[in-house]
Amino acid sequence: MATPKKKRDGDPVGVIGGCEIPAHLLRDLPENGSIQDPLDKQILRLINLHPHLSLKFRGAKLSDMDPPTKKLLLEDIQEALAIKPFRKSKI
Amino acid sequence: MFAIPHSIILSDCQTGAEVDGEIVLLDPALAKKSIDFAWWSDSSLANANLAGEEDRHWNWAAVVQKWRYKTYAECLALRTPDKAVQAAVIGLANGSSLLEKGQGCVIVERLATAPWNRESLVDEPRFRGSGTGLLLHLVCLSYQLGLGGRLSLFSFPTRDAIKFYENRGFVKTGETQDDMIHYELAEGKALRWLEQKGLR
Repeated sequence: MATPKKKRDGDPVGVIGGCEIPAHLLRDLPENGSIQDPLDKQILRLINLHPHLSLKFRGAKLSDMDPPTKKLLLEDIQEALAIKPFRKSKI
Repeated sequence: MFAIPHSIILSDCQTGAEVDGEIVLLDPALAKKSIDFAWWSDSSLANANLAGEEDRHWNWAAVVQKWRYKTYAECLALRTPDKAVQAAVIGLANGSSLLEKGQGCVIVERLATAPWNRESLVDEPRFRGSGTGLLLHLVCLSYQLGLGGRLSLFSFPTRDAIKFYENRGFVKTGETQDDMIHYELAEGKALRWLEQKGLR
C-alpha cells in the first residue's frame, strides 16, 4: 500500500484577470472566423502569429488538403519555428 | 505533429493522493452547468464569506460565448473524474509582450479555481494544482504556437499571488488595470518552468 502524501493547502492561484485588457497588450492580427477543425486552427494561428511564414507557406491552401497533408504542413511549420515536442502528456 | 499536454495531475488535499484532471474545451453549456450553476452554490461554502471574491459575479457562459469563435482564444476547463470543473481559463494567443518588444505572448483573459479549492474560503480545500496547472498549460500553448512560452496576466497583489509569481520568474511590467498588477513571464523563465516540470 502506497504511503499517503502529506496534506497540502489549496492552490495558490485562485483568480486571475477578468478586467479589460488594454489594446496595446494585444496584437492586431487577422481573424479567421469560426474554425471547427483543431488542425486548421493550429495551422492558421501559427501562420497569423508569424507573418514571415505566410511567404514561405504561401502555396498552402487548407481547404485543398487532406488531414495527413495538413499534419505534414504543421510539422514543417513547427520545424521552421524550432518548436519541439513535449516530453509528456501530463502536467 | 505533437500534442499539447491534455491532463493535469492534481493533489487531493484530504488524502494526499494524485488525481488525473482532464483538460477539456469549455463551451457555454458546460460553463453554465458546471461553473455558473455549481461553483457558488456548493454546500462547502455555506459558512464562507464570499464578499471578497472578485469572480463571484462572473458569468462564464456569457464570457465563453463571447470568445469561443475568436481565432486566438482558448476556453478550457479542468475536470476531475467525477466531471466536476475544478478550474477554468480563457487565454488569448494574440498577446503582445512588454518585456520583449515585438514578441508575442499568450495573455490570460481570466482564470479561476473552483471556490472549494480556495484555502481563503474553505477550511479543507479539495484539490491543489488546478489553477497552477492551467496556467502552465497556457505556457505550453504559448510554446506550441512559437511564442516561446511567454505569458502575461493581471492579478490582484495578494501576498500569496506575489510570492507565487516571483518564485516562477514573473516580472511586474508597471501596467495596472482596475487595481490589478500586470505580470509577464519572459521566454527564458517560461522555458525553465517547462524544463522543471519535465515537459521539455
